[in-house]
Amino acid sequence: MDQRDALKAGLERQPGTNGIWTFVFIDMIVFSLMFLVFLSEKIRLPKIYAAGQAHLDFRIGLTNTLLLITSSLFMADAVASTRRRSVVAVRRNLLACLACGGAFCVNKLFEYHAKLSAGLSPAHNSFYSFYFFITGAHFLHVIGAMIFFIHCMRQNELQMVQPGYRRKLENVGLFWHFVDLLWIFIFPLLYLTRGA
Amino acid sequence: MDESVKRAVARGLAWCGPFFVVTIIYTWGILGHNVPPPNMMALTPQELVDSYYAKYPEVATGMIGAATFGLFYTIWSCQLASMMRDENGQLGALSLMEVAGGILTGWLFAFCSAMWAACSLLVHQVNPEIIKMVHTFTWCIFDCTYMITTMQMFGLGLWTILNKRQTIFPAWAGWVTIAIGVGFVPLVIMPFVTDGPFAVNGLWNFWIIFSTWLFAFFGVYNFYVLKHVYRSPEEQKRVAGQFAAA
Repeated sequence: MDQRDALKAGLERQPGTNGIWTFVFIDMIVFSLMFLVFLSEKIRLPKIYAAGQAHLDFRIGLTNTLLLITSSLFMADAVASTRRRSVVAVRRNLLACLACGGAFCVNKLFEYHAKLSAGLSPAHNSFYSFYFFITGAHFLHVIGAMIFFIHCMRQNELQMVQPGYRRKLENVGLFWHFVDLLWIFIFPLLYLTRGA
Repeated sequence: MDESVKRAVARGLAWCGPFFVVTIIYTWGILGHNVPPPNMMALTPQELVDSYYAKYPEVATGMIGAATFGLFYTIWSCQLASMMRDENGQLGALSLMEVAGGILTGWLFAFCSAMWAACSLLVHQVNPEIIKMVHTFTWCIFDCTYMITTMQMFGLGLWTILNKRQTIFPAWAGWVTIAIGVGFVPLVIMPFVTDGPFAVNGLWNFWIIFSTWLFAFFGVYNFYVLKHVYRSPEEQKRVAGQFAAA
């Protein structure tokens, strides 16, 4: 095998397509910007941010963290199942991911409702503007991923054993792992770290 | 229209993009003293008049200029839409979304700039309360109708990413465009805050949004549009992924 063939073979083993990696990279930059602006505001208004964080229930955040990490495990297993051509296992794992995502969404909606009912809207102060903006953007990513799970589950058995399906599921998996990774940053940033 | 004339027209329309950038920075930004704009939600009417309209009479000139040059954005958007064809050479819904957004964004620049020009021209004849009302009303229109430009960017971004045959625009530019379009969403908070990153002159709602829109979206697509209009007709069809006529 010459160098060019080896490179081609290596690229073909890369999980996911270039498109999803591009998307993840750009999304990472956008969220990094959000986090940086959040931190600059936190330094500028420490009391408002400390008071805002004190109103957040870290148990909800922790539950959401556990849900997403668990669902990532199911996602990884779903991708591995495509390699074994085990259609039943793929569907089962995707259903589990969907259930975890659904539970996350329900949790999040209850949390938003509680805040809004207490008069804590995005316009209340700088902390709550960011709280709703950052978690809202993340929430939309979770909804998007759930739509992809449903799409992947709806493929018939013949489609699910094709190489293209494995590539598609790898893309969805990468996206879901990125959503999970984002939350691992968001949870401590919003719920745990408190300034003076 | 013969081919050489069509190419000349396309090139002329493509250059409207850089022309828009230069003129709008000068008229709206520099003469209009909008870098950054005054934080009207934190100012009393008299403060707004004293610190902005009465202090900078050139705002009127700048805004009338911006009302003219703002529409060059629309002209450029039309040229861009004409390039966004599917494999059969048809304009699809995403192309129409792009051009609709481009038309409305250009209109916003023209209309809002004209309103601010009126505030500047009448600053010594009208109560400060009325000046602030018109100023604020116009900024609400300018900022809170961000979905106009988000729609344009989604149409363009999705066409760039989903049309696998075209190589006019790289896929990363499509993703960046969509990301910037989503980044506009916090503009909904602008009317309700008096300071911080989401105020009208804030780090997010002014500096990040305007600079990414103008340079990371508009500048990038300008580059690729100009590159495309200088290709030969055959090369243009090839990179657009259009099938040759049978």
